[in-house]
Order: sequence, then C-alpha cells, then structure tokens
Amino acid sequence: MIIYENEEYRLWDCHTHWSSLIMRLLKPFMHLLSIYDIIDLTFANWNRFKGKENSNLENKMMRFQLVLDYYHIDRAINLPVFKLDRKISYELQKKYPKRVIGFGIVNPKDKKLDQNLEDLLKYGVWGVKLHPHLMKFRYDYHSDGVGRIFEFCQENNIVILSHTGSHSEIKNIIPLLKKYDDLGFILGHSGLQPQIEQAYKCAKECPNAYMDMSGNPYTYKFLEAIRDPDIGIERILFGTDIPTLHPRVEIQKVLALPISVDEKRMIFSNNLENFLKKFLKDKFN
Amino acid sequence: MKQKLDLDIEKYKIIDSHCHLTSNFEDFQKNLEIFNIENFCLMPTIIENDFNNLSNYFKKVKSIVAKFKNACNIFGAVDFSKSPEENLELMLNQRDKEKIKGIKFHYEQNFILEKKYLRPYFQVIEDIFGYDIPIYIHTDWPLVGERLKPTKLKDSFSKFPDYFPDFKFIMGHGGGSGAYVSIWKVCKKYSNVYVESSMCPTTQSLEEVIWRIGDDRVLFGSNFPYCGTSIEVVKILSMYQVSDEDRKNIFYNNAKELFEL
Repeated sequence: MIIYENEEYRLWDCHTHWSSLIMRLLKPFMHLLSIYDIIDLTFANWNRFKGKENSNLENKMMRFQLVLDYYHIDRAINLPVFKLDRKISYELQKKYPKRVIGFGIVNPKDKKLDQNLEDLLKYGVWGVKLHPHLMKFRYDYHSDGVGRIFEFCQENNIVILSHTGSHSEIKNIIPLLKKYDDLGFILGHSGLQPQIEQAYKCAKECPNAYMDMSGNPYTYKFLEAIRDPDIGIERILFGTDIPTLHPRVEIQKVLALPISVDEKRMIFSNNLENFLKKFLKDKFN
Repeated sequence: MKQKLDLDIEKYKIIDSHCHLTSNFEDFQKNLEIFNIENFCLMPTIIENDFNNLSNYFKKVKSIVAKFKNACNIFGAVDFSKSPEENLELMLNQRDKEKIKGIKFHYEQNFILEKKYLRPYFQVIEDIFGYDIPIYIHTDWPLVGERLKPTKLKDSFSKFPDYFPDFKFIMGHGGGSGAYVSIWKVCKKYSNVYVESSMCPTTQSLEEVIWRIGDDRVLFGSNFPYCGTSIEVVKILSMYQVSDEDRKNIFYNNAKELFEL
C-alpha cells in the first residue's frame, strides 16, 4: 500500500521474478538480473534469515517477501526466470498464499511438453510464463507447441504471461488468442518500445489480452489504450519487473497518468484482481 | 505498512535535454512550471513525421521559440532525401534563423550507416556549426535477424563516434530497451559520448555510468509528451548511491555546459 497526494493505493504487481540463483557465490553476477538496490537489500539481510531451522529455499523465499515489503507491494505474480526456478515459484505461493501467485514455466519446444503441462495441474499452478528469448522459440515457427499450451491452459483455467518486445512478433499471437478466447493472457511489457504498436493492436483485437505496463515507457500509448473503447482501462495492469527494474519508477508510470484516483486504483490492483477472478474461475479467492 | 511517495523536486533546477512539441500549448507550459524546467531542447520526432517535413517542423517550432525565447533550444536534422549540397543550404538557413543547439539522427530517416555515405553530411554540419553542437542519436533500432534480437550498440550508436571522433554525441534514451546494459562501456571507450536518460529502462545502467565514468556524462531528458516528465524525474531521484551533487549535474549542470547555455 502506498500513499500519493493523500490517496492510498493497493499494489498488485503482475510481473515480478525471484530465482533460486540468488546466492552469495553468484553475487558478483547478480547485477545482470537485478538493480543494485535489491542486490544490497537482499545480501545486507543475508544473516537475518539464516537459521538452522530454515532451509535454503525458505531463506530465499523470505528474502523475496522482504523485497515486496520494502516496496510496499501487497500481492505479486512471481514468474520463474529459468526452468530451475519453478520450485521456488510454487513454494512461494504455498508459503504466502495471500501474497504471491507463483507461475510455472513451460517451453513449447520441450519434448516432454505434455508431461510438463500435466505437472501444472499436479502442482496446482494458476499461470505460466512464456519467454521467446530465454526459451528460444517464436510464435510463428513453433505454433504447434504454443497452440498446445494455449489449448491446455484454456481447458484448465490457467492464465499466461508472455514476454513481448523482442525475439518474436506479437502479431503472431493474435490468431491464437482469437481461437482460445477464454484464455487470460498478459502481454508482458506491452511490446516495450519496438513492439508497442503490435501490443496495442493485439489488445484491441483480442478482449482476452491485457497490457502490462512494466518496462514500457510510452505512457501516451497507455493513455490511448485507456481511452480506446476497444481496450479500456480495465485491461491495463501495473507491473514492476522486480528485481530487474526499479519499482518506484514503475509506480510513477501509473501515478503520472492524467486519470482519476479510482482509475489509478484499477490499474494498481483492481484490474489484476478481476483478471484473476475472471480467468482462474473458482480457483481464485 | 504504507509508504508516502509524494515528490520532492523543488530543490532541483532542470534543463530538459530531450522533449518534443505538443499541440496543447498549455500542457507544454504547465510541464515546464511543475518541474522547474529552466531550459529545454526541442527535437523533431518520427511520430509527427517531422524528419520528412522539416520545414513544417521549424514552422511549428516558431510559436514555441516566440513564447519561451531563451529557454528554448532547437535541434535540427539532416534531410537524407536531399544531397549534402542541398543540406548545406538548408542548414545555413537553420543556423541563421533558428537557435540550433544540435542535430538529431533517427534510424527511420533511412540513411546508410556507413562512413562513406555519412561523411559528406557530417562535413556539412562541420562546415556550418564546427564541432560545437552535439549530435543526438536515437537508440532502440529495429529488431534484427531471424531471432528478432535488439540491435547492439556496437552495430548502431557506436558507429557514429567511431566514424566521427571529433564530434560530441548524445546516446538517446540511455541505449534503449534492448541495449541499455553496460552503456558505461560505451562511455569509457568514447570520451565524446553523453547519455540521455529518458526511456532508459533501468536506473542501474545510469548508476554505472556515474560510478565508473563520472557524473558529467548523464543528461536528464523527459521525452515529453510521449513519456511522463515525473517518471523521468523519479528515475533520477531513485538512482542508488548517487549524491545530491550528482543529481544536480544530471538535472542541470551537464546540459548547461554541453549546450553552452
């Protein structure tokens, strides 16, 4: 919860990451994934959570909670960066069920795709992250695998967030979202600078596509989307991309919009809450 | 627990090294007042098709110049649909009539990124302005290759200081969304490179320039009206282990010196 100009806002963050790679040994490389503020916050508090009774995993999870506390984030979707981060993501949701929604990760090129999809049900996962860059796929070249994921997620009320802005064209996602129109889909970063127009078009044509503001500096395009009757404010989501981007800057993107306090509240939290209620059906409460 | 986030910006004076025209004059003025912007650099934009219609851009700029006089610094551009000789005439006109403080390049101007092609155009700039005015290079070049990767700085921005080491260059948007990591290395390699902060995705890459290179190479830019000035201000205020003096340099002193204001 933050206060800005005497108004309170709950923060529901649709885009955060935490990794099992957060360890002392790898601290010199952490700047590749994280801002220095979060690196120092995490490692300065290293011993605080280190106890005999806590496992390594629990320590890492408590550090994530510390970061959320530090930036006053009330609830967050955690997206695994690498395949090895699935466990910490699932465990975060178990440990902090009212605070963290731990997404899974599935690669459309994976030979064990069907098994990986079944695992999502086994672990009770609510959403999956797709990353064309890190998973080295493209929505056009690997449409079979991507289609299988979209179909499975729609059938099982699992939502998807995909990185956008590089390494694949957003326009190739549009036919899939039209086919699987009951699937909740978040356009991660809304195409960044290079693909903002494609992200806008996707949201305009697909009512199940939501625009994540994290990392995207073009506030004028979000304002256009808010005023566009085919998109509207309901499909704009607040995201920070913790620990890579600075949460205070991402928060300011919403505060800076020339919209009402209630509309800012929608972007900061209500829209994500409604998105989860709508597409996760009875799983979300 | 709740955190109060109201902005405390009164102690800073600002020179905005990157903004654009807006059809709403009142908004423009309000933006200057709210953020204590003493001076600003107005640049052509691809969004308004300014590069293809420079005469119209300078016509639009006139009303701002008339209103803000000494606060307004105009960036011109090369017209790549015309020969270097024709640009000589155009730029002489720009120099004499407008208060040109720099030249902006945008990759969508369809120039060829080769020394042989660019040399005559840079010769024109040199003949008219000398090396005094900085050259602003927009970053965020198109995604490339089958994997649609962001263009690396070494294949885009860095070619300019490589080809024309006597000029001063501004790296627009802190390297852009795909190439912002380790921009300090570019600053280290080229002592004639400045980094403009608008749209730079993270505070981290700007902090590294301050820590590793120095506090005299980062310029504050808003990219108003396409980005929010308050967002860009918060970015500078949120920078980690950066002193108040460094912030004053980013917000004001560096631009004052570079643009000789």
